[in-house]
Amino acid sequence: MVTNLKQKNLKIPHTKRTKFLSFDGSIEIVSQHQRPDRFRNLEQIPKDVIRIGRGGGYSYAAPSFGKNILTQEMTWFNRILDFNEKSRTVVVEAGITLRELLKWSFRKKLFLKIQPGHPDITIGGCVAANVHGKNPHKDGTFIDMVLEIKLFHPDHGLIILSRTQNTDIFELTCGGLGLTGIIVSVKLQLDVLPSDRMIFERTPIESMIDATEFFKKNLDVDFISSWHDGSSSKKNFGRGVGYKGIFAEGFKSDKLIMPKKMALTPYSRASLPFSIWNKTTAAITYSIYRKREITGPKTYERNVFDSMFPFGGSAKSFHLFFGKNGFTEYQILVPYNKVEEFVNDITKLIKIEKPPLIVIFMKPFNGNQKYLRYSGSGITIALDFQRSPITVKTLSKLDDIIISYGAIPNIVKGPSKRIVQSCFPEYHKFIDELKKFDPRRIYKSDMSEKLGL
Amino acid sequence: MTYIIVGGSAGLGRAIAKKFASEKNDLIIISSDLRDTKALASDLEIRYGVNVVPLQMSLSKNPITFKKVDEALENLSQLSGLILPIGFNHPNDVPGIDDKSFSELVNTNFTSVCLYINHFLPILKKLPNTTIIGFGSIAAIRGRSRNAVYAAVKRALESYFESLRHFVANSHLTVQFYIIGYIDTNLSFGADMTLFKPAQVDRLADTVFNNRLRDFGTTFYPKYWKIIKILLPIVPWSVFKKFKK
Repeated sequence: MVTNLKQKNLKIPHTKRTKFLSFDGSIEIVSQHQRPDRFRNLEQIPKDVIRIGRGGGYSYAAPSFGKNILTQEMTWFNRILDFNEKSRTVVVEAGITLRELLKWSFRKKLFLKIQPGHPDITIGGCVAANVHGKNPHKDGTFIDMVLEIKLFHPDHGLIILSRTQNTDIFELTCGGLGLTGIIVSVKLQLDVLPSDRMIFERTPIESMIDATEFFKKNLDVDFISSWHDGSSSKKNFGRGVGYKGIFAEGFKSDKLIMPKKMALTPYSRASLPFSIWNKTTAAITYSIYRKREITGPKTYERNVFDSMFPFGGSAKSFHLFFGKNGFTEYQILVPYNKVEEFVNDITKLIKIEKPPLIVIFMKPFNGNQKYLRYSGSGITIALDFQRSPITVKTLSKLDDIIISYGAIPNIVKGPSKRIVQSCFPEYHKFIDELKKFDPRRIYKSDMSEKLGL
Repeated sequence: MTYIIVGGSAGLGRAIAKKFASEKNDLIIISSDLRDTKALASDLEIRYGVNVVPLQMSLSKNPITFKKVDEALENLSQLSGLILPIGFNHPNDVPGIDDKSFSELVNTNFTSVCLYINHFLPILKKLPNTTIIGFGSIAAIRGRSRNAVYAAVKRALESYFESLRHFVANSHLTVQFYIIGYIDTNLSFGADMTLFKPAQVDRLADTVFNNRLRDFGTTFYPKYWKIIKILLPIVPWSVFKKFKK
């Protein structure tokens, strides 16, 4: 086995040293970088080189790079390989982005009903992180749309994974953080796109507990979420706005309206040298923003691209304002029957520790949890902090709360090994199954190393 | 209209195939690995609704047979052009390279390209508004120790295209030759680009499509390489011999 140290000196054609940066700005590593554009490129790497696949590179943490690990960026494997109009299934290469896929599928009035908020995330990335979409309670998670995967592993060659073929590896690969091999192509189930617009309704929400009631009443809509003020003041903490959205009827336009400006990358996100967000600016901003939201028209219409990809437009400044130092997002899935107590406990924690918590997002979830997948039934709560020593101290205490409630963290947001090990019942099973499939464990990343995977 | 693209599965060839398909042209794409060519053909057919025939052919060995290409042409619209964005280099391409690698470099970059031209020349000469487009390299401006065979055959190819243009002058067949600088394909990924920022491959593909019927002969892309073409040969030997990278 070539050790990580030796790989530093390996000379692989058409590779370069790249400074990789996680989207949250917390991890920066220089390592070897390949961007294959043909099958031969995948096969030409010596079999024992430690490597990891990469899509768009928008994960908050570092599942697609690592120290002395070869990153294989798959963005040139972005072709559409097959389309069946009758069954509405499409086979795409893993490097195709959600933006590119929607651009094509929009013309057929079809879409992927589960997609994360950034348009430049790739399908391979969606599979590897088992992402969720706009209403995970109604739609489930990404695995629910995946019919088949073609995976490359130097010891196994190209293999087909599905619910009937190599099922165990299929299960390991969906939400498997790219550790089973390179996802080359994916067969996906598309859905009929009902409209080119969505109609949203805003509802003022007084607390995080009220949000759960808001969700219960609107579980079947196409889009549901809420945001909450994270400032530790008694008056404002937890106050926010709930949003529900449904597709409008029919198409106003046959053209997909996309923003002219590029969405944020990890590098452009970190372009401000300082953070605009702090406890004071966040409290003022969200107080004003909430007022504006609840005094404005109750319903409004947005085009489908903006509805699906807030990172492409409206959420840009939010992440940009964290500046070079970045942010920390903790995303936790709390079982329905424990949400109230959990919220009370984290409210207490925030009020005591007073960390620079900028905002909280919530959504309802439904599904079965397996291996390390962020899935299950409950409410997902995302807490976005400015990075600081108080945040680190608070998160350590938050970990204890999460573990005591049997909640699970979203791994791609970068939680610690302790919490991942304690919260995922199949943590050890995942490692064992992975070792069975790949005894030499040649697919690794900074994240897998930190989590002991 | 149908275009034959030789070396069309990746890099510049892929970008050209995408551009020509997006302009509603049928294509025959030829490369040495059918897995890549088939994937690209499916993609272009699904996205643009054109007919694309993927073919596998190794151009590193001669003779080559055109039977499959001719058969594919029978089922497609009228042939409009032959585009040859093929290039193959070798990490050990220095004077004294082994015979096998030498032959592969010559065959892929020169002999097979010329054989393609020779095969389709009669038909392209007869048809209206047709084009043959070849691609050279700035490596051929002045020979250095690196890419020795590659540079030599690219210079030979430029000469063959000059002869070809002269041969078909006053006909409906346009002959063009692009001398390419650094472009952002997999071949330049990881290369030392301190002095020259690679040009966007999609822009070059647009240029090739938009100018496909212009009789300009030979051109540089990006244009500033024309100045380097003038200056590099007059760099004194005492200085030039130090350009080892």
